[in-house]
Amino acid sequence: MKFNYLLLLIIMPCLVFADAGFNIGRPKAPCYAVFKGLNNIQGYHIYRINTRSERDDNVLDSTMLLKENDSLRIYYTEGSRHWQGPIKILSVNIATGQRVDSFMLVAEGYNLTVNFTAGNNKPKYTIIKTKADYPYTLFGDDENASAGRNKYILLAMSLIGFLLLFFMISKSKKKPVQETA
Amino acid sequence: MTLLALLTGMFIIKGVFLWIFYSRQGWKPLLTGLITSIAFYPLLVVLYHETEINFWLVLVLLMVADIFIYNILLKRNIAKSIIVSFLLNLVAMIFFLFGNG
Repeated sequence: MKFNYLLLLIIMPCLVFADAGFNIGRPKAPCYAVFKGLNNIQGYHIYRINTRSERDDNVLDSTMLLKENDSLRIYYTEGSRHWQGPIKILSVNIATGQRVDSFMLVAEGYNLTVNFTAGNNKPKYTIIKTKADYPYTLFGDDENASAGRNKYILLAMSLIGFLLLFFMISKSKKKPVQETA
Repeated sequence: MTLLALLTGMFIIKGVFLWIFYSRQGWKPLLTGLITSIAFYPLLVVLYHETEINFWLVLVLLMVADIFIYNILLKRNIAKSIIVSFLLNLVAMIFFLFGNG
């Protein structure tokens, strides 16, 4: 039983805080955007991504869920000029060229390729969902991104849970639960 | 959703509600809820984000696993285990899907 408490009280909080630590310490890498309709020029550095929501003047957080056909406000540089524009996402890819699916997570500072149209005539804004926090799917194999390593913390946590469950069940089999009326 | 938020939410849903259903068992339902949450839900987050697995199937498997666990650890009453497992896992899955986008 002491071993159970050791797992529960010491290792588990360590994992929880390690998970939170990964969230805070996300690496910052250059971002590139591809503008559809502008001959797919690459090399635009995205330095801020923001959504058009009630909290528009604030950057929501460094991570958001991007979906095709979503609109968002994106801040980027073209040479020495700084731009900010409402854009509509046509498709989203990671920088390696690997197609993910119709939605993905992006974080500021990550390498990604975004195909979008610059909206000159007030496009209809859609609020981007910002529910998911961890870009496991995207960045698990990216050497620049440590956030993908979170999944090992989760797997370790799950393993500890199964161990504890195993101990509990084996202990309860030794002392069968008394039937209550 | 961070691991801390996930585990806190799951502990409230599974631990506390389980304790309400099995209040005669003392503190054991709380521990059972916490440990089943720790065992299953971090794994579910990885499955959800990394694989294309059908989550209805996962929900059913989770319910079946919980039925056995509640039946073994808390009270040998299969009907009660089925009802409690169904309710708690349904609520827990809604919370999970809401939190993970």
